[in-house]
Amino acid sequence: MKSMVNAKFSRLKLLMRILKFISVGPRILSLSEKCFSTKRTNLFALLPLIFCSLAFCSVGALATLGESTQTVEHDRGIFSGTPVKQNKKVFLRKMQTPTQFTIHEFEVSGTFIREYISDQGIVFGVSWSGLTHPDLTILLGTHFDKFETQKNLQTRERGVRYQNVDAGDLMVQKWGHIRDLHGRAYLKSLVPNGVLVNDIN
Amino acid sequence: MILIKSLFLKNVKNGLDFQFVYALTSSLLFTFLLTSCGGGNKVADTSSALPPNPSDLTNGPILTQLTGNNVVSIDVNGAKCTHNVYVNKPCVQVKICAIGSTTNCQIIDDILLDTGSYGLRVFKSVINSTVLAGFTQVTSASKPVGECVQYGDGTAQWGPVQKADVILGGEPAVTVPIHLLDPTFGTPPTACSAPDTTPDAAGLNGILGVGVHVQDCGTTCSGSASNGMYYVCNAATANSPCAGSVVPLVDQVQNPIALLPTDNNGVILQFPSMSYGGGVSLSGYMVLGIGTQSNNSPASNVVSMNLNSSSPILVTEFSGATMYGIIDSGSNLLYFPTPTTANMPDCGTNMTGLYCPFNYTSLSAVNRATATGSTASRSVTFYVGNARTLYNSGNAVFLEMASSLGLIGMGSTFDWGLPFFYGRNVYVGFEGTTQSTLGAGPYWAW
Repeated sequence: MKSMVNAKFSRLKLLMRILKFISVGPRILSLSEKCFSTKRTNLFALLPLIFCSLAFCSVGALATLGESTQTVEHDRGIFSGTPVKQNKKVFLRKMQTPTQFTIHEFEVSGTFIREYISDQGIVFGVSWSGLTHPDLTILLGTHFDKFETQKNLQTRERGVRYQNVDAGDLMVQKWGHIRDLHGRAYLKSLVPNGVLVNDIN
Repeated sequence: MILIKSLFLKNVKNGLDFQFVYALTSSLLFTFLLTSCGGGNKVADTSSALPPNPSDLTNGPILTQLTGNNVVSIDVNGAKCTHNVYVNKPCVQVKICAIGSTTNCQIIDDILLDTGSYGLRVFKSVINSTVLAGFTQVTSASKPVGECVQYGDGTAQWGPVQKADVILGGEPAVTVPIHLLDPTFGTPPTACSAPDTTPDAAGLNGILGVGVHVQDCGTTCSGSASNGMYYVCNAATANSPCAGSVVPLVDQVQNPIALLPTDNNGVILQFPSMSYGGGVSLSGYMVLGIGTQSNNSPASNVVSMNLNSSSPILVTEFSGATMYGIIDSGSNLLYFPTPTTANMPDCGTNMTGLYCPFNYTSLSAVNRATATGSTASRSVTFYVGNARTLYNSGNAVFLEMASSLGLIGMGSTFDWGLPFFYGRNVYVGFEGTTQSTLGAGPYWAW
């Protein structure tokens, strides 16, 4: 698993450098859609093809969950959030190999959003608490469709205050009440060994 | 009853997540302890075949009939619940009128009584057009204001905020902003892109939120336009563009009881006890006001858990852990993380997430106040029965049905749902009120 993560990460770093070079704006999330556009013939149309050849489009790069640390700042920008905690190191329990991860937290009008980053620099989970469930199209990025598809397959339960959406590698959970909503999302394959689900909280 | 079944068909595909493995490991360890230690095991056997009612449940099976202008009847799965009966659904009737009229009115039933939310929400489609015509649209810069509310289960409701006259029991009408649920209003934001569209979809005609707060948002929405709840639209017509909006407290959707001339400092929910094994329906009362009339004076043994003013959350100590506690009549079961102090197996097939102990099993928790300087606490003892056996009985009101929240732990929250209210008088003290002997609101007391 580790080597897979590293491979993904190195592709990401490469992509981020290219992206910085062509200086994309806040529409960065739509790039994977552009990967499939063949109508444009300028340089910008060719670059996505190169990305696709790097097998990026197949994993739907440039989202947040499952992507690199840089996307945290990008998300915060989209939400117009205020930083709360940056690079907060968390060391977990006494283990033979100490596990650690990093939390970035920002606030958007009464809702706190936290992104959990592994030692490999990958966002393996996000969580939130506050006034609203945040826009998951941003936090889940390209994984959002999997969430939406699985959610729509599930039978609605009444009288409950939580939602579990188990979409293969992706797990999305919501709970809480008006004025005090909570939730988290994580990619099972990326959660570091030793990290429990309730650590993403 | 099909819908009750659907309640249990949840999370079948939950799969092995970390928490599950953790819980499984715990239960295996428990089994090991039981089998390896013989009679000398360290885990107390707290199960029994036919438990007594916990001593802190003081209401008998039949409540003294209450009368007075401040009394509202509640049915749990009785006549006032007309849509989609599910386990432990508390319903009331609300009378809504054109502003200033005592005759252009309509009684709406199947309104969920919810101590976990704030204010009145009703599907616009169930209100007569003549009554609707007497409401006043809340505006911002002369444009209509709408709201998107989200719930813990991921569902959402959307529609305009309008002022209406609301009458509860025999109390005078109050003019209050209410949320009309209407998916055709303007352009809903992403969070409300798939709102509840009909009473059938939502399983109710509306919700009356009577929790400890007054407004459904508060100062965040009166101070920030990007609050994610309140929006202003160019017009009420479908597809008209909407943008986040500041809405002053007086224009936010809020609890009509807090606006009454008297009886406005809280409510008391009173339910008779429910026998183990369950029943078809149960009736109780919501009494408006606390210590304002002869029928709502707190008994001397009532303990008030006063709260930090910004939150309805209690501290709950359960199974050796400290967690958030919420008292929520709109949650239909007791929801708590799997305890390590008792054997509490998951029901498994088709009922994952519900508890199926082999025998009735006693558990207890302590709830504590959170207000600065307050040390009040109250322990609660309760029994958990086998959810599958209970479900198979065909009943729909249960004291002893509980759930682990589909094994997610819900971030260590103990949700005291409607079963907590059975056999008790539960006092809900509204924020900003001081005139009760139970102290300053917000508080929960019983």
